[in-house]
Amino acid sequence: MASAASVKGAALPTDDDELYCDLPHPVWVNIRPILESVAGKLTDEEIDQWFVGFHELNEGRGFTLELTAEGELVISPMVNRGGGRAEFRLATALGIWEDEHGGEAYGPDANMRLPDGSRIRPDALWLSPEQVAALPPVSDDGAITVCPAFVAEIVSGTDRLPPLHRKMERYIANGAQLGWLIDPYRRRVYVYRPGVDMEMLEDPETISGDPVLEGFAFEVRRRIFALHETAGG
Amino acid sequence: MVTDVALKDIAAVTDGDESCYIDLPHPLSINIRPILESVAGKLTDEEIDQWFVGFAQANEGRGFYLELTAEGELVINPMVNLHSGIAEAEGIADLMIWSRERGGLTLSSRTIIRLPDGTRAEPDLSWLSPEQVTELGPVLPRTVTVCPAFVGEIMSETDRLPPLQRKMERYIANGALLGWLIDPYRRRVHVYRPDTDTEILEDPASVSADPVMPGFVFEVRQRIFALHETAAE
Repeated sequence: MASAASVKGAALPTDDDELYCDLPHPVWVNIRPILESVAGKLTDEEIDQWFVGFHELNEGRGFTLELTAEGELVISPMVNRGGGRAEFRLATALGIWEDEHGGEAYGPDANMRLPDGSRIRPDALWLSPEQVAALPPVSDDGAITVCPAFVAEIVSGTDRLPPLHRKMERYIANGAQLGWLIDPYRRRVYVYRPGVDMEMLEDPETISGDPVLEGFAFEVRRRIFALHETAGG
Repeated sequence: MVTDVALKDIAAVTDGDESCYIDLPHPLSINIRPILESVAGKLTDEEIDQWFVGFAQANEGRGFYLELTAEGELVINPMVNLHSGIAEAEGIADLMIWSRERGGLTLSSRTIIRLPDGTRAEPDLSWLSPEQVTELGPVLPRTVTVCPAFVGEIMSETDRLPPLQRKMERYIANGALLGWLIDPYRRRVHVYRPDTDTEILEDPASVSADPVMPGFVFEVRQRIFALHETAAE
């Protein structure tokens, strides 16, 4: 066949193959031109609604969308099963703690707008009782418009560290009291607090949420790092 | 500068040990209909056209360009490689030579075209008929707001056929009189015309643009298919 004979060297894109694109990851698209054009024409709440719509319309496409204060639309692949387990385990532990101590804990599906205008979805977060009191009732379908007292991110296979570090710094700059960046690949936890240097814990067994999450000790080695041991054989 | 920081993060795979290739399908398409719905009646078509001028600047050097379909899909296309770039230039060169003598306007592949259905596209090859040039008026706008009489797309290694076929059908539905989808991998040219079935030419030596561009014959085998032979050897 003429067409088969011609296929030398160059990889043949087939119709049904999922081809992987050679864009760097995560994909950042600057949509500042859109944001500038709607300034004064749309409210913050109307822009929040974009993300509710994005979530529905792009379901099943394997990515999540976030927006930075600089207008970068960040397209991140969904976490794999191991990443999903890790997120779930952290959110569960946080939820159990919340039962006794109050406030509101969320997993990775909370829509959030930071004071700087970024729309982000941390892997886990907790709103203090004071923050909850200041927000509209949960029946309101708007975004969470304060930076939670506690936020956590878990590094997944396709993440790179520098953007995550910047994200953590941004949480603190926007008012978070405690931030954990959990890196199961290097078995490290980076602890962020306002006014002090970031602290790096090497292969900790547990991490303490004191004083923000009073008495919360998360067994990160057993709950998250161990997932990778199993996966690695 | 904010943009510099973002670019640095994108360009550098600083952590080293993990692949930077993403497991998102290609081309990456994000449905941004919530944005379009929220600006309906608030922004003019021309203001939306300006997004694309802004996108090009704000995302320069990131290795992709953006298109928008009438259905609200923001499509992130990786820039073509050297190979496909040459194929594109070959096509534009012959179009240009022909149109210099016979009239009309050959456009660059970075011209933003707004189709009547609202799609913003950047076809690889396009030619405006003399009548279309007259319609556009003496001062050429930044965005072409008619579908060029002739449109061509050249498949590159990250393209898949079905999205390109849909693109060609869209050009015809929006008023193109002739469309070529050139597939160097299978040595085929798909010829699109209004009201007739797509014709697939198997390894043609040349393709004729009659009667839309009278006398224009593009030697596709020599100019484009041959590039792949060379590359493979």
